[in-house]
Amino acid sequence: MKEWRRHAPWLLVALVIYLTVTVPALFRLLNRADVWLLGMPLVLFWIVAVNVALCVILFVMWRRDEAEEGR
Amino acid sequence: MSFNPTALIIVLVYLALLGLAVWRYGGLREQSVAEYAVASRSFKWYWIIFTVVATWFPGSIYTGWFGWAATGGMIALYGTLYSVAALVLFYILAPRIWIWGKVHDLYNMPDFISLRYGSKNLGLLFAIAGIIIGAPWQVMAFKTFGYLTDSITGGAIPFNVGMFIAVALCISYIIYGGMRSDVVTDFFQGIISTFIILGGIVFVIYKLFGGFGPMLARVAAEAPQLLVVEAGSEAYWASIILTGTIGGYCWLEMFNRIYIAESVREVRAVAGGAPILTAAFFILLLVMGLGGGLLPEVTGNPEAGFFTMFQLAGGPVMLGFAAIVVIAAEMSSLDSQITSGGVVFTQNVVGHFKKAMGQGQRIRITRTAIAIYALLAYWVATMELPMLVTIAIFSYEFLVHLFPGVIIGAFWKRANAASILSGFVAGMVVSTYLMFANGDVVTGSGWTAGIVGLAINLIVFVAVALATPPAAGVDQLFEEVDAYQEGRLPAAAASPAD
Repeated sequence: MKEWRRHAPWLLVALVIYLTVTVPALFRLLNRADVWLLGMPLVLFWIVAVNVALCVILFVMWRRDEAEEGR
Repeated sequence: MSFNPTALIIVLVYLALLGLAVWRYGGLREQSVAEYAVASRSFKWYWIIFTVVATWFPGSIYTGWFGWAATGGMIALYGTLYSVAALVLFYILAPRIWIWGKVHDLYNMPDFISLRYGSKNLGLLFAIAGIIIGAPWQVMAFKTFGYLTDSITGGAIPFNVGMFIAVALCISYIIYGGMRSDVVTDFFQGIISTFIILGGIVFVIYKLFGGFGPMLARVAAEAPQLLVVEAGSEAYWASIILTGTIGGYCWLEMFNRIYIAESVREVRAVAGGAPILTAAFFILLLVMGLGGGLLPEVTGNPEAGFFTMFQLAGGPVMLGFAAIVVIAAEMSSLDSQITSGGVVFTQNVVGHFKKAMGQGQRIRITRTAIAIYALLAYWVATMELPMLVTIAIFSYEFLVHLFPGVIIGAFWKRANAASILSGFVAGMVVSTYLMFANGDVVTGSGWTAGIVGLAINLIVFVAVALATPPAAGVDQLFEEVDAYQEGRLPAAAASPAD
């Protein structure tokens, strides 16, 4: 169990990010195409941003595990 | 589309090269079950990355999901979110699953269930459920082969005939190859399709629309409904993301990917590459699908839209490359699904009742079962079916009921056979009833039958778990995870399948 406890803060961040697209009341605020960011409608921007954020979190957790094992 | 042999020639050359790889790494020679089922747990992280990604993405994302993006718009991108979120779950789950697999010589998910809960009957239930719930994906795969052959031959070969030829070829590879061949071909197919698809999608969008910005601007002007998830369907959107996330590693073949790794470290290293590959490639594909919604050639036959757009942009050569990508994706999912399912059938269903089987006999039964199963799935695929992505979502509504047993039980000692079984039955009954009474979405709530059923499953599961004692030996089992990582544990014990 030690490994997932070590990652608890990052998993919490991942959960919060995930909830922005899985809690209907939150997602409703982002589900818009009248606001555009970086050339994308807001909802597409947010979907891309959530994907990128989760990828970064995974990568960080992996690097921390590698460092913990002395590599 | 009219018939031009260029695309077909490209595909045939690719299939010949693939056949060489299968012949080199597979073979109809007698193998041990460990070699056939988990390639003797020998693969490094870079093989695992591509086999995880290749297994996760079937060819039907180029037909079903692509078509949904072209007609339904942004809602199709739910798949990008659950694909990456499921990898977060994988990262936390996989190390302990691998350790138990190594220590107890497990080959698949039902083996894990039998060990964890001390119940071969529960393992049998999960084996049967896994095979039945996964069956729609093989039907979708075969249907995709039909779209593929129809596209590259311009309809010159009838849909069902072309589907049969493609299925027969694919199943021959799978029966001949075994798991090592599956992983090796997944790797090469993954590399090829990654380069083709990333470059190809960018090429198509620039060729047909002048770039991503102009394309999205046109969609905003001409089909703005594609750029949002339809108002009022946010609960449905949330449901399908949730069921995908928590069900993702309950598939027999995805769970099996954990066991082919050489070590815990190789399993974890998947996080280094799989997520970004997954996200980049799936997002680009479905954004291209949004653009497809502007083209009458695509909206007229959306599930062939991916082939249509590649041909419109680059003629028969690009169509040939598109076909290779879909073949690669479909074969690399199908080989994992069918090999895993075949092994589960032999080891955990037949093996439950007939214990005394030699290695050779087990492999022969597996191969025979695969051939019979493929014929049945082909027959179903010849029927008129709903949109392929609908079938996928439908299967997840039932898959989620494996979640407490497969995932929660890997972390929570109180989960036991009685709680898993009770929750499973309660959840499946509720989901099935709601599905037949309301269709996929529970009237008035927006949430799907699967999510509502899962809520009931979890309530019953927790209540029974707290009211009954934990499984015997669970403390020792959990201690093994720490002990293995600290180097305090000896090598594998006897397989529970024996």
